[in-house]
Amino acid sequence: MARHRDKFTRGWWFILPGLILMTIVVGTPLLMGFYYSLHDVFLYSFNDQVFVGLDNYRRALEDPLYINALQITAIFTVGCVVTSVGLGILIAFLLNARQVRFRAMWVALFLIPFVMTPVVGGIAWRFFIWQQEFGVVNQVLAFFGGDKPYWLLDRETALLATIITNSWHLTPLAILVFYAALTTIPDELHEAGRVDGAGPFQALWYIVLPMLRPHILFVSIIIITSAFREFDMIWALTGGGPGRSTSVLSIFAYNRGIANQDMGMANTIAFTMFIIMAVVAWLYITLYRRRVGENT
Amino acid sequence: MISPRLKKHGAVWTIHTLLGIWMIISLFPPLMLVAASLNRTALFRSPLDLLMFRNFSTENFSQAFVRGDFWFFFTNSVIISTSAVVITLVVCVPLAYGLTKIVNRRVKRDQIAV
Repeated sequence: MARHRDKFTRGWWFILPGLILMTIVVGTPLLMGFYYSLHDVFLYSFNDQVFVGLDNYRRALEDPLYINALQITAIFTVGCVVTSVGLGILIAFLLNARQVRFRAMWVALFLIPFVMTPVVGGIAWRFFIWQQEFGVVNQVLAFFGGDKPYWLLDRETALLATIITNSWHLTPLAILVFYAALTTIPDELHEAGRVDGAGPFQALWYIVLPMLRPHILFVSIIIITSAFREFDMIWALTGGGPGRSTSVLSIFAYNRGIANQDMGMANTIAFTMFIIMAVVAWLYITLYRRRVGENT
Repeated sequence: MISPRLKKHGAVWTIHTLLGIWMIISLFPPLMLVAASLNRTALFRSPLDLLMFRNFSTENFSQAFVRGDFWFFFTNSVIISTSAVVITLVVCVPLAYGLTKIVNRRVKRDQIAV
């Protein structure tokens, strides 16, 4: 018993430095953000802070621009998750096929978009893919006799373009995780499927997808958290425009805090983002534990 | 009736074609950045035109080093990334080890990790 307690105490000594550091670098900004969200704070008169309680939260929830940003963030996040996870599963499944040669090379090449800085990726897509006159998409459309839309300048298409660009950046992560997971599925399962006459699509649906379920949850939460707080790529692509058609919560908070100098409201928006993400993370952990519990 | 051999070849080609298409989508933007950096007047020119390297030049790189103050920003990046890696390793390796040691009914490892 004493030995067990000793081991337990020693464990805490190893955890303590990390815990202190996390408290400083995560806890302090979080508490300060919450503090400012309860005050009227303007950059031009930073020292004149007036306590307003939850008034900033009420103002945010009654602001149609906040609701608009929330809706756009939700569409953007769902779009990125569906596209990245769907493509990730499909490409990992193809990569895992027996006939594929030079797998390591394919995986390495597919990872390149993920290691690119989002701003640089955004600039590349803006000037070379979505550009109205010379962009590749419009050149391909023109080749088939189609119109040349202003992808990033049209309210109807700008959000779709940002979702596709961000999915291009996030799909490699999904490919990597799903491919690693697929290699752990025993060959016997595939063999059994083949003996029962299962084709590639049936194998994907009845063997691969059920085995990948915990990994899909894991990748989804990573992509949700990443897409939900996305700022730099959208900023490089559209700057939140045209109008407010790609103005996600992080861009909205930035505009409020820097352009309008209203730091109280900016912190309120940021704190609501934190609460939403905390709820999503809690849901994920609950679901994941239930899934693990079912499997064991 | 398609022979099994032909079917197998068809599957190989289909898989490799699909992977090739995704590779082109993945690599086209970074490839265009490289092509743009190696052309003299890159802005507002067709991507295919840039890939032909008609105005090939390494001038952009020399400009980045001379006028762009590349080494200053590079040094900053190295300092930040090295510090981040060192701090993460120094803090997180003992933390992960410590987490494995605190098996207790009252304190749940997952909760501390989260």
